[in-house]
Amino acid sequence: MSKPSDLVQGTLDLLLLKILALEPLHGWAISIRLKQVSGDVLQVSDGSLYPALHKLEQQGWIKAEWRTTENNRRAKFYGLTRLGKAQLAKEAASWERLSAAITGVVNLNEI
Amino acid sequence: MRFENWLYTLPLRLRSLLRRKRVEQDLEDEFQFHLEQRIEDGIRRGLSCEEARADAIKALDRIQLRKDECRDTRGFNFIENALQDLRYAVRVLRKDAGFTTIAILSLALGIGANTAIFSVMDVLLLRALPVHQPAGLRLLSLTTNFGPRYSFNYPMYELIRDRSEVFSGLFAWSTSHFQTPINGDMVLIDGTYASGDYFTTLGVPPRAGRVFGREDDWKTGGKNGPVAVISEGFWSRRYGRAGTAIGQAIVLNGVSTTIIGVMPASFTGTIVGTPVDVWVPLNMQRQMEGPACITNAHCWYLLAMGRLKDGISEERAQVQLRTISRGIMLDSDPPQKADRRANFLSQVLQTEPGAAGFTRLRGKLRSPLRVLMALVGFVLLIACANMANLLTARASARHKEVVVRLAMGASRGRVIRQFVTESLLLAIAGAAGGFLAAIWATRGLIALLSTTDNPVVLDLKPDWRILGFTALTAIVAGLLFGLAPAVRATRAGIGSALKERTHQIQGAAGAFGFTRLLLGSQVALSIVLLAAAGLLAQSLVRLLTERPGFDPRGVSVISLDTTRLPEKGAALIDLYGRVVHRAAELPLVESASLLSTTPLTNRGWNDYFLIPGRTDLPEEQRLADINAVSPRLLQTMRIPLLAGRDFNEGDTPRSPLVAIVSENAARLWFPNGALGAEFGMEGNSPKLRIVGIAGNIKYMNLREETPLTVYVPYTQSNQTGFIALRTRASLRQTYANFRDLLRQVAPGAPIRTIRTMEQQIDESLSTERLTAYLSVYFAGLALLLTAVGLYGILAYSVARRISEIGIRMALGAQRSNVIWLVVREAMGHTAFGAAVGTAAVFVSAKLIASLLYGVRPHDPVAMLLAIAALAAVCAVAAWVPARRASRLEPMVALREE
Repeated sequence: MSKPSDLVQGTLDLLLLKILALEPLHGWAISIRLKQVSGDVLQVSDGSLYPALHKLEQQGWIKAEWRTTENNRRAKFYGLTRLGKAQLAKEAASWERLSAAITGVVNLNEI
Repeated sequence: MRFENWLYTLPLRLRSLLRRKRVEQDLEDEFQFHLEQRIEDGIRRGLSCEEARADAIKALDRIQLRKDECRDTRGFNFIENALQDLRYAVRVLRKDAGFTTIAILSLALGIGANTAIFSVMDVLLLRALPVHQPAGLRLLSLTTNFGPRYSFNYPMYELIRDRSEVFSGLFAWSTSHFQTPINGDMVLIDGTYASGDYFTTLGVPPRAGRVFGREDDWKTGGKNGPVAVISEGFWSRRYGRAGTAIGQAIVLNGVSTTIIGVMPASFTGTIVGTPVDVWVPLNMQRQMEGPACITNAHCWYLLAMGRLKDGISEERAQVQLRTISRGIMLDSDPPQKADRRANFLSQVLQTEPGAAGFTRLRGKLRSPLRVLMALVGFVLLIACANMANLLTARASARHKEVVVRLAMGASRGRVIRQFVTESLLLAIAGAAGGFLAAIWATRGLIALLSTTDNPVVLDLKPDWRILGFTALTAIVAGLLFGLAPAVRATRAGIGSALKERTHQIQGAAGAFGFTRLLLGSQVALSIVLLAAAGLLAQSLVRLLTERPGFDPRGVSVISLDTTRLPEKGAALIDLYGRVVHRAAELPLVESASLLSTTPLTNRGWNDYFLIPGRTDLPEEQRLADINAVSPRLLQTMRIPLLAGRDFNEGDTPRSPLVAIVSENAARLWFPNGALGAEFGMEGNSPKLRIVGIAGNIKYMNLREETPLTVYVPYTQSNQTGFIALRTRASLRQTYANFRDLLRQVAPGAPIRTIRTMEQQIDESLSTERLTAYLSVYFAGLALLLTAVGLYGILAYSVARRISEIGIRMALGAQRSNVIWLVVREAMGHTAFGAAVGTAAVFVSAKLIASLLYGVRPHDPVAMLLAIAALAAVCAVAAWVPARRASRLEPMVALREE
C-alpha cells in the first residue's frame, strides 16, 4: 500500500482523524484542508488519500455518509466515530511523545 | 479487533460482500466527484478544460490501482479472488481428467470409509435420543464387584422412585416379545413394557394420538382399559399408515388393548439398536404374562432412567443416591446367606449420562470401533500422502506457470491460494463421493452386526454431526495434501526463472526428498494396517476353526414362546418332554433333546459346587457351568461320553439325583475317579451322584477357556429352554415340520426362534467378523493406494532420468542394469518405510490385544505376511516403469533433451 514518502509512517491516519474531528468532510475537502492547515508543507497525493480513508472506515474509526454539498452535489462525507475519537486521542498522545523525544535528540548540544 | 470495532465494520463487510454492485458504484461516484471538483478548481485557476482534466487524472495517479487498494481494504478482493481461483481450478482439473478421476476416487474411498465408521460410532456412542433435553437424562446402575449392573427388579425400582429426591421423573422399562394374531397366525412382535413415567419423563411427543401416563399403568389399564402405543414402523407395516389405527384394538398376549398413539420414526425406544413395535404400561405385564416378573423380586429385568430436577448437579444426585442405597438394599429382600448378603447390601446406586440411551452394543463395540476408526484414519492419511505426491509431481510440471505468475507480480500467497483451492476442490469432490459411498457402506456395516437374536435397527439418517465430520475431514485432508506442495512449488523466486533449467533439477531433487518422506510414511502406515489386518483375520480364523468340543453341523436349535400356555412349572416341563419326544420322530431327524442353555450364545447358568473332601479348591475352581438336559443330548450334539452312562427315562423327579460332569471337572474334583462320586451345589441342595463323564466343551463363547461343566437331567432340575434337533432336513423344512407338530402338541406356544447351531456360532462372532473383514479391506485399500503412489513416483522419476538412462545405455549398460536401477530406487523408497512401520507395529500392537484370540500381538507370521504383501505389491508397482526404462532406445532417449 503506497503512503506519501514525506510523511512519517502512520501520521497520515492522525492527520485525517484530526481534520475530521472538527467536522465531517468529503475527500476533496479533506485534501484542500490538509494543504491549508499545514501551509502546503504536508502534501498528500489525491491518490493515496482514498485508500487511507477506506482503511480508517474499515477500522471503524470514521463513518461514511452520502450527503449533498453546499452547491447541491452528492458527495461522500466522512465523520469521526466514538472509536475514532478515542483513537485520535491515543495517536495524538503518542505523537506528542515521539516528537518531544525527537526534538530532545535534535537539540542535543554537540560537545 | 475489539468487539466495538466489529459493530462498525461488520455491516461494512457484509455490504461489500452482499451488495457488490452498489459498493462498486459508490467507489466510482466518490472518485468521479473528486475528479470533477479538481477539474472545476483547475478551471477556476485558469487552466483549459483539457489541462484541468489531465491534471486531475495525474493527481489521482493510476486511478484503477487506487480503486483496487480501496477494494482491498474492504476485504472485497478476497471473495473476487476466491471465485477466480475456483473457476481456474475447475478448468485446470477438467483439463487433466485422468489425474482428477484418480484423485477424487482415492479420496472418496478414504473419506467414505471414515464417514461410514464414524456414522456407526455416532449412532451408537454419541447421538442423543430424540427427546426433550436429552442431556438431563441419567441411566441408573448398581455398583457390583463385576462392574456396573443396569438391571433392577420392580420392588427396587419403586423404592428408588419413591425415595430419591433428585429426579423430576424416574421410569423403568423392559423389552419383551408379544404374541399377536396377524392374518390368523400367531406372530411375535417386539414389545416394551414401560412404566407410566416413561413418555412424560422422556418428553417425547407422539406423532399422532397420545402417549400413556401413570394413570394408565395398572394391571387392567386406567379408565380407558389396557392401552398401547405403537411405533411408526409397526404402524406402516401393520396398518399401512392409516389414521384409523388409533382407537383400534390389538390383541397382545391374549389381552385386548386399545392403540392410543403412534410414536414418530425418529424415536425407536430407549435401547439404541433394538427395534420396538409396541409399548404397553409396565403393570399390564401382570395380565399379559402368567407368573409375571413384576411380582418377582428375583427377576432383575428392568432398566431405569431418570431426569435430573432443574438445578440438581450430577454430584448432588450421586451423593443423594449413595445415601439412600443401603436402605433400599435392606428393603429389597436381600439374600440370606452371609457373604452374598454382604455383597448385596454393599451395592450402591449410581447414575451415568443417559442422553444416548442404553445399548448392549456399546460395550461390545466400543473398542473394536475405536480400533477401526484408527485404522480407517490411517487409510485416509495414506490417501492424503498419495495426493500430496501427485500434486508435487504436478507442481514441478507446472513450474513454468508458477514462475510466470510470480514474475507477473502475483504474490506468493496468491499462487499458494490458487494451488490450495485446487486441492480443496478435489477434497470436496472426494468428500461428496465419500459421503454417498458412506451411506451405502453404513447399511452394510449394520447388516454385518445384526443377528437374528439381536437385530440391530439403527436410525442411519445422516445428521449434522456426520455431515460436519465429512466436511471437516475433507478440509483437513485438502489442506494437508495441498499446502505442502504449494509452498514448495512457490519457494523459487522470480530470479530463478532465468536459471530455469538448473532450478528444475535442483527443485525436483528437493521435491524428491519430500516425496520420499511421504512415500515412506505411506509404506509405514500400510505395514501397520496390514499387520493389524493379519492379526485380526488370524483371530477370526482361529475362532472359526476352534473346536468347541461338539459338532454344530446339522443341529438346529428351537425356542418356544410359552408365556400364554396354561401349563406352568412341572406341567410345562412335561409338555417340553412330550414335544421333544414327538420331535425325535419327525422325518430326517436323527435325534432330539432338550437343553437349558445353547452353547456359544454368551448366555449361561453357573454356580459354585461343594466337593466333599476338597476344601483346598479355590472358589473359581468350584465354579461350573450348568446345563439341564434331556437324555441323548450328548448324542445330538456329538459330545463324546467318555465313561459311565447318559441320562435316561429312568431319571425322574422321584429317582436319585444324578449328574454328568465334563472331563476337566472330573479330573480336577475327583482325581481318584469321579464315577459314582457325590457332590452338591452350594447351599442346602441335595447331593448329586455322578453317573457319566463327557468330553469338554466351550460353553458361553469360543473365546473363553474351556470351562468346567455339569449336566443335570431336566426332569430333576425343572429347567429347560431349547430343543436341539440333529437333522438332515433344511432349516425351512425343519421349521414347517416342527410348526405342524406344535399345532398338535402345544397349540398355544409359537416358535420364538429357530436357527442352525452353525448360524448361531456365526452370529456370536459378528463383531470379530466385522473387525476382521474391515481391517482386511482397509489394508487392501492402503496397499492399493501405496502401489499407485509408488508407481506414480517411479514413472515420474524414470521420465525425469530419461537422458541419464540414455547415456548409461549408450555407454553399454544392460537392460537388467537399468531395471535394477529403477527397482533399487523403489526398494530405497519402501525399505525405510517398512522399517519404521515394523517398529510402529511392535510399539502399538498391544493396543489391539483385547480383540485378538489365539494369536499374540507380536505374532511374527502376521508381521512377515505384512512385509511380504507390501514387497510384492511394490514389486508390481515398480515393474512397469522399470520395464519402460529398460526398453528405451538410447538415441531416442538422448534426443528427448
